[in-house]
Amino acid sequence: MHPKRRTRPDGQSGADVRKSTPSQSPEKRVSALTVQARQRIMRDIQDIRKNPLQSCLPDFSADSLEQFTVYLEGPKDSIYEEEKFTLRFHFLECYPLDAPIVQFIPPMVPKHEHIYSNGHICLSILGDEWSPALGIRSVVMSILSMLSSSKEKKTPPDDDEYMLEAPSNPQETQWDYHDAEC
Amino acid sequence: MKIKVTRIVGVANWYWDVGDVDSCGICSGQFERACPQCTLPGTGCPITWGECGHLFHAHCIERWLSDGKTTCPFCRQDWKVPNEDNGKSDTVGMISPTEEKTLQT
Repeated sequence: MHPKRRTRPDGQSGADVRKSTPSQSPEKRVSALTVQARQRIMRDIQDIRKNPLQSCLPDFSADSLEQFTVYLEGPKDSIYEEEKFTLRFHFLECYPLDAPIVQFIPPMVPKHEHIYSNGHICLSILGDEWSPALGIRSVVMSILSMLSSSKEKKTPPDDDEYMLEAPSNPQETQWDYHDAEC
Repeated sequence: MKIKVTRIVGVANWYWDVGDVDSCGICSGQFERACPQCTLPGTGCPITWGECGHLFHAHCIERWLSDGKTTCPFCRQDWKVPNEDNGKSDTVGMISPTEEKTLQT
């Protein structure tokens, strides 16, 4: 499959363009977490427990640190108020040097112009703009902020097309981020 | 009453002189403790700062930079260590431990 570039034709301040590479399951890239990763995930969990976020209920009950679920509620006064969404974090071996794989779990996916119906999120900090200074809390905050600032419930313009070719791991998609909100 | 000193034990306490920042921006661990790669804190893994002023364990920022990255994880400015000329430290980009000494009898 050749990499593609596609521009969002909505004439907004920017365009959301991405290239796809052949699909590869997330499992292939995931191996045992390093000690550094484990310690850092534990600290991230402590951080979000000490400073809980409104509309966010993390479920850390899983036996493994590699993956957990966060239940989100549509932020107050947003167009998603009272809706419920499920977000999944998947940590790679070298977290926090590697960004976590974060996606919504269908069918609990918000209808948003930067969120594809398979749950993949076009958000720069989950890709090229990731920094190890970010963590679970800041990722959830960014996603809540994406939802809060949305004015219209609509799927990305190329959603149908992306569903045909989307890799199971959103990090296999090369996103280009030109939109200030993305 | 006469007291005879038979033994003097010197105890030294040191800490990183890093102001208000108490933890590494990469591993989130406190500077007082070792980075995740080390078992003991100390000069083997000194606190390192860039020209932007952000602080990290030396091993943590080395891992980030060895991954082909060139920017500070906090502010995304190009990562540069300060010159010796700015007088911050004798060791480029690294803070020396400050020692506090006490004596116990």
